[in-house]
Amino acid sequence: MKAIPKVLGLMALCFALAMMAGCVLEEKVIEIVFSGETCADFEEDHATGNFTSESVLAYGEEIDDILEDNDLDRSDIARAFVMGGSYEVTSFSHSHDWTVGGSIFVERQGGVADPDTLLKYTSQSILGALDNQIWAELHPDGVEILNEALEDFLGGANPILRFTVENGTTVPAPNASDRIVFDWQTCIKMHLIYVEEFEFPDM
Amino acid sequence: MTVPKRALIAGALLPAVLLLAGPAPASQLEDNLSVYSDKNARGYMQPLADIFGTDLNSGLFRSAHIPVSGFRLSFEVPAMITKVRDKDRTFRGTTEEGFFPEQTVDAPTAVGPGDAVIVDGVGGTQFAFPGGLDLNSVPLATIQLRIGRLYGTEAIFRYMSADVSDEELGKVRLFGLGAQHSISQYLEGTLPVEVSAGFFWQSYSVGKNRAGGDLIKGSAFTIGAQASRQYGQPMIYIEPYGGLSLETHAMEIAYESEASGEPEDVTLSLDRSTNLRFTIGALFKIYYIGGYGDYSFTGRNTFTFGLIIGN
Repeated sequence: MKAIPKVLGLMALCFALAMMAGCVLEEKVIEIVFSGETCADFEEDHATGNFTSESVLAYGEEIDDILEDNDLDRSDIARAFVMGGSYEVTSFSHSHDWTVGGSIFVERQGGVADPDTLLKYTSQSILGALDNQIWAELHPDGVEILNEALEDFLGGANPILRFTVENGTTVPAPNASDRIVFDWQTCIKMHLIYVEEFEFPDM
Repeated sequence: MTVPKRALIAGALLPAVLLLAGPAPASQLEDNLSVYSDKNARGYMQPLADIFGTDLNSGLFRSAHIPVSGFRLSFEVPAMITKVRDKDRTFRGTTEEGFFPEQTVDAPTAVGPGDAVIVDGVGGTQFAFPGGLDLNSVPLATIQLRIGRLYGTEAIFRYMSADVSDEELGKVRLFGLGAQHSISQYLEGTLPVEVSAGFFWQSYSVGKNRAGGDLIKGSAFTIGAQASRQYGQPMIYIEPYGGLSLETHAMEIAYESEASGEPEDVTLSLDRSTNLRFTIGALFKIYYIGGYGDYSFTGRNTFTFGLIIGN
């Protein structure tokens, strides 16, 4: 029984040490990933199946908006890169469907390089793409332009991109009395990474 | 195109974070979860949810000594720490829709390494699996009240409520109740130790989603038996104790995913975890102040320390 006060004292000491240990904060670093998407819109109204259309995208401003929505600015971003690309028909009302095939090119506005292929679409039903995001395998040359623009953005620039649709085939063939009319967009999805430090009572 | 931060999570970590480290890690998990659809989100969050459930079911039962009658009121502050296992740190993550070719890799969970894992795809595209909080353990502290006695029974209440500065997280609430009943009163001193049985149920919620529902909600339940023996005097004593219990925990997260391109509301019911818990520890009381420490094993190691103020 005489040992009990000593045991109690030892337990109290152990308890105090344990509680103190809980107050020691350890610095942690986490790489946080979030995604952003920018889209270039096209309006098509043609009497021929072989048509071209263009859309200009203020890439830098769009990414600034994404960052602002996340309470960040470009100086917070450690890395950014293209994750994927897609296209989608946003408006179409016609008595019959069309099937189209072609390519979408991308270039830096004001740049010296020629446009490069971003993606290709083949035998694509317009109705099938209506309100349906269709992911495409992106081409290396187009991705390189986008990733360079991202790097320049992080370096302080405000890149502007020009997207060009070159449609090669349309079935059935449109004509003056049966024009192909629809709106669509191509979207670029990117992953952005920022690093944040925080303290946590880790043991 | 925006990337809202409403894709909440950290329900698991949030109470601990609020009490011990502030809300920053919780908002970091929000962002990381938003790039994941259902399957990856489950893999990312499940270990943290399981560990939090283990914390929640800790610190409830100690002494089996419950007289049949007499007033008992004590205020308790348990602090629980569950260690993170190596296998909790990664999960098999698969790249999301829109990335070609699909790839499956070991990716960090919410408690895993802080570095993101980046894989290469066609045409120079890349996919990033977010980092985790890089935790060795997940702590939780709460407060509880024990009141009795009636027919050898004590009631236990646990409550926690906190407003987070981040308006998207809103309010965090934890409420629990249970009871512990003396079995020894029926055995008439045939055992060298006191024996009791008890149960405890808890429910918690974190924040509100766009529809006005709970962003995160969960529940835990435990039922078990305890044994203990006091050494010393009525007001100054030490009391080793042990217990065996069956416990369960479930969590549901309603977040906004951008994994498939368009923002999409996802309700994710994480897998319910059910474990057998073995506990061993000791408490001491010096008049109206006491403390205790115990170790529990549920497949994970949990250490619990606490303060007791009351009789």
